[in-house]
Amino acid sequence: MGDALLSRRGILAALASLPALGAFPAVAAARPVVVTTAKLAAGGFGIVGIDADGQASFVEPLPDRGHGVVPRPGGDDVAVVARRPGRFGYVVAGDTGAVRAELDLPDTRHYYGHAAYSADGRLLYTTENAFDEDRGVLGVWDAAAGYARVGEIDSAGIGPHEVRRAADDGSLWVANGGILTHPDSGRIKLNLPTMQPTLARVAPDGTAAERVLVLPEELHKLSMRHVATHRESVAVAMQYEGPEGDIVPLIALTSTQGTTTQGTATQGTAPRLLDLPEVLALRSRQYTGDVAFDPSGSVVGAGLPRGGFFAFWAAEDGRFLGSVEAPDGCAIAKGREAGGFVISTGIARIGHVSAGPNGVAVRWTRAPEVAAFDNHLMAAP
Amino acid sequence: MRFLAVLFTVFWLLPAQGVRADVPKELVEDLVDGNVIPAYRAFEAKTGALADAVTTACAGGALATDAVKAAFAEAWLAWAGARHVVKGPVTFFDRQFRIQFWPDSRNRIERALIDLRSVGGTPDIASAAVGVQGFPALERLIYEGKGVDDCFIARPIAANLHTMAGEILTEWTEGDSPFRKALVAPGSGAGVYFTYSESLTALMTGATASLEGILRLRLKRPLGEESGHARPNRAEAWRSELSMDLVRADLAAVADFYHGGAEAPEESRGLDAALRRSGETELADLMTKAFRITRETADKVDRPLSAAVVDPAMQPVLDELVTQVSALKALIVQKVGPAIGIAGGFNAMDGD
Repeated sequence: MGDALLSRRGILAALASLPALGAFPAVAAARPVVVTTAKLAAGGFGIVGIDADGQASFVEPLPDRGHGVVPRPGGDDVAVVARRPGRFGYVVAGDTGAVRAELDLPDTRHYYGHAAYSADGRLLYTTENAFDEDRGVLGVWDAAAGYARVGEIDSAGIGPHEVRRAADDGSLWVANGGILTHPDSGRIKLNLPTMQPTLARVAPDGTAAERVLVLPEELHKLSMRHVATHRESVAVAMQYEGPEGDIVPLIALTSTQGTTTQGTATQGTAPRLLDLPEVLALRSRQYTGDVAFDPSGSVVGAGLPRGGFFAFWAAEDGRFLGSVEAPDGCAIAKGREAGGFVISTGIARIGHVSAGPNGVAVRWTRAPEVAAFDNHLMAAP
Repeated sequence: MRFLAVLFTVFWLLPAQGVRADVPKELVEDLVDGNVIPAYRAFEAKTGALADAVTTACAGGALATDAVKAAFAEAWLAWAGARHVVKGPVTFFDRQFRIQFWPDSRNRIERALIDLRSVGGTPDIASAAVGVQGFPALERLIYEGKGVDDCFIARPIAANLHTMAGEILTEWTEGDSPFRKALVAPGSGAGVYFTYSESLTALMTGATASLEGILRLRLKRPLGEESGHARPNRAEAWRSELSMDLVRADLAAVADFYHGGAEAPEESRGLDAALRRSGETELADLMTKAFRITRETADKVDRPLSAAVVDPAMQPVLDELVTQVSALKALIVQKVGPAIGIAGGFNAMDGD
């Protein structure tokens, strides 16, 4: 035991005496397959592109910790916004990370961490806290006008976190977590007993948001945080604010179809709630951090960073397909083939997943330039 | 800033050492049996005394008697002695919010009290609005209420506080699967924790949340963003002038938690003992000193926070307290946690 420790120390000492890694000729990285925010090995935070072997195609610093990244349809712009309650937002080139535009956020707003483009790529929507008014908004930016701020719409709920565009009709879907916070109080939650999370839909014309999915009263502490879309399908990933021992569903599946309006109330399709096997449910701490569909739309995957695993379900019937062990794993996005996903972890791993009725397999790569991958990633455009 | 700079200089120089396998079980028992359960016992006793005092005063045709005010202060301070525990029975049925709904930026408490007064008759407090069930509502009745005319609301609030305190204590200690067992015997099927590391994380989360609450809610909100823009009525418990005493009680509770309820300075229990058993003597000494210095600074604030935040002479003391509480929290998260084998994940933060 002592010998092993000594020899490991010997190795560490030998490594420490080597010149900095930067002094070695870099392995030429290929095109990025993933773009994501990260904590950098060299210190600080940035946005990085990672190739299929885990090598960094680009590393661009950010002023602080970033959060969501989203590609612009029909181009290679990538929008990135700060982690809440941060206030920076940039548009960068998807292949180099070079900054193309900076979003100029009003003083009375801070970002919640996510953004989505309109189907034509013209408008960018960012989730924001209008913190002195106790309400959530979507900031609207015009990509064709150098990302000038051209308006905002009410998110129809408190605490809008992720917004995603539905693939079939271009409507936007917003997960309003329902939790009231204020920058004066940091990340402290101010309204848990009365919180009311909602899923809201913004019509394709981008004019107004309306609530379409409100959970049953007994599930009012299931904070809706993240959204994934595929054709008419919408998946919502949730975080439970009630007691730890409760076992509650963490993923809700619904549809853009069948949304009806009666008077002032809009009724969405009744959600299908996905379950985990009990042991995993307890490990999860009732907390999901990200959600995605595979390219075929037949598999739903979610990252559960507190449980240290990713879980996968069949979209058709909600059947649990399997899980991947991943310490501090959170980010998940669509991969390239049916059943495919890319995932990442807080210990700097990127995984390429294949999930289907026969189970779940993963191939891991490690990124030497990165200390920790952030909560979200996207497949490179 | 001097204190912070010194702490950071010192703790970056500390050696990283391994944690011994027998540390966690004894540590969890120290924290639970030495701090958490005694804190809930005290809360149960003090809320019982409060309920009795309110009943006696009301029977005598008054509400805001000296005896009621004293019992009220002791009960709220006992709650401050236990609110660093954020897992388990206190989270069942929204109890932590029913005991103290605060801050109340939308004035829900006032509105709920107006509703109860307009309805009349003894209210079923346990199923009334969350805001009207706890200390802040009772404080309004005692300190700016209508005296004996409010007894029909004050009596059930006090009685319900005592009921909730009793239920929390019972659920921690009694029955087939007390919450105590879920923590001290993780993986036994008694609860939601599988390892000592998970039990410790659950307990440590509360200690850091309590320090965060002191900083963000109790100190910085009334202090305001810039000097000269203090908001005295944002202080906790400004009506009863208990704001600074509550901060001191919070700090005392976290210190007692850290020391596993040790009663004498030379007795080493809890996290102090765990660090020393793991060879982290310098860190343990630093923590003891950090708690002592921070509490001494808190003692220098010789009036309620609502008065202190508008007195320029107090500004340096409050600034120093903010700095020291920040440093304490940073030490616990960045040094004590990793030293006992727990570390927060990069991606496991609330809400993102």
